[in-house]
Amino acid sequence: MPNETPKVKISINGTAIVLAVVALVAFWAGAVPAAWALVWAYLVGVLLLAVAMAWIGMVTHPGQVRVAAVASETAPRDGDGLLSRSTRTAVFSIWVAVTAMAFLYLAYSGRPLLLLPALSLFAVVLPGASERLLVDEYVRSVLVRSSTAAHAAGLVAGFLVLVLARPDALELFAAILAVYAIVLEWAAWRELR
Amino acid sequence: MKNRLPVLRAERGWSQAALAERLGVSRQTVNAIEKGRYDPSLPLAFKIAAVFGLAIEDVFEPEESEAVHAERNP
Repeated sequence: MPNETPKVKISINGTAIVLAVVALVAFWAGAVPAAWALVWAYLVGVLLLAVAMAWIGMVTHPGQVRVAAVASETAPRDGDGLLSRSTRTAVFSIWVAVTAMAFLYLAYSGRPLLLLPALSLFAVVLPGASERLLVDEYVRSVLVRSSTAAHAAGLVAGFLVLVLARPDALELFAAILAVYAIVLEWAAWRELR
Repeated sequence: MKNRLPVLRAERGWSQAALAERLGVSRQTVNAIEKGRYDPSLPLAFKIAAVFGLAIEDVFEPEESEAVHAERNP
C-alpha cells in the first residue's frame, strides 16, 4: 500500500469574476443583458460540474483522493483566516441571490421555464451542500450513483419539457441542466449529509 | 459486514473527523462505514486496522449470513 495518496485540487471559484463582468454588462447594456450573462455563467458552470462528475467517475481509482472544491466558498481551508472565509461566503451568497434574481426576472419577462434553474439554486442552501468534498472511494461511489440518477432525470425532464412546453433551444438546455443540478445535489446530499 | 469502529473510536476519544484525518478519507466515509452503509475496500480496511493497532479481523467481522455462506462454500 502506498503511504502517499495523490491529491489533485479541483477548484472552481470564479464567482467574483462573474459578478464583476455582470456588473459591467449591467452598467453598459442594462438589466436584461446582465441577466442573460448570469444565466449563461450558471449554465456553463453546471455543464462543467457535469463534466467533472463524469471525469471523477471515470478516472478516480480506489485509494486515490481528490479534493473537490466545486462549491467550497463556505468551507474552511487549511491556513485560511476567518476574514477570507467570511469574504468567500459573502461572495458566494451574493452570487446565488443575484443569479436567482436573474432567473426570476427572465421568467417574469416571458420565459417561465427559467423558473426551473432558479429552483435548482435553492439546493445550494441544503446543510452541508457547500462543504468542501474529499473525493475518496466512498464519496466517489456516491457521486457516480448521484450523477447517474441526475443524467437520467435530466434526459426525462428534457423529453417531457420538449413535448409539453415546446420550448426554444435555450429553455430546453436550461431545463435539462437545472433538473440535472437539482437531482445531483439532492441525491448526493441525502447520502453525504 | 459488521465493525467495531464506533467502540474503538470512543475508547480513544477520537471524533469521526479526527479518524477521517488519520485515514486520509472524508468524514462521510467514516460515518458510512460505522453505520454499515458502506463496506470499505481491502486497502482501506487494512489502513483502519493499522490506525487502531489491531488485526483486520479485530475490527471487522462478517454478518452471520456471510459467515454461513463462506462455511458452506469454502
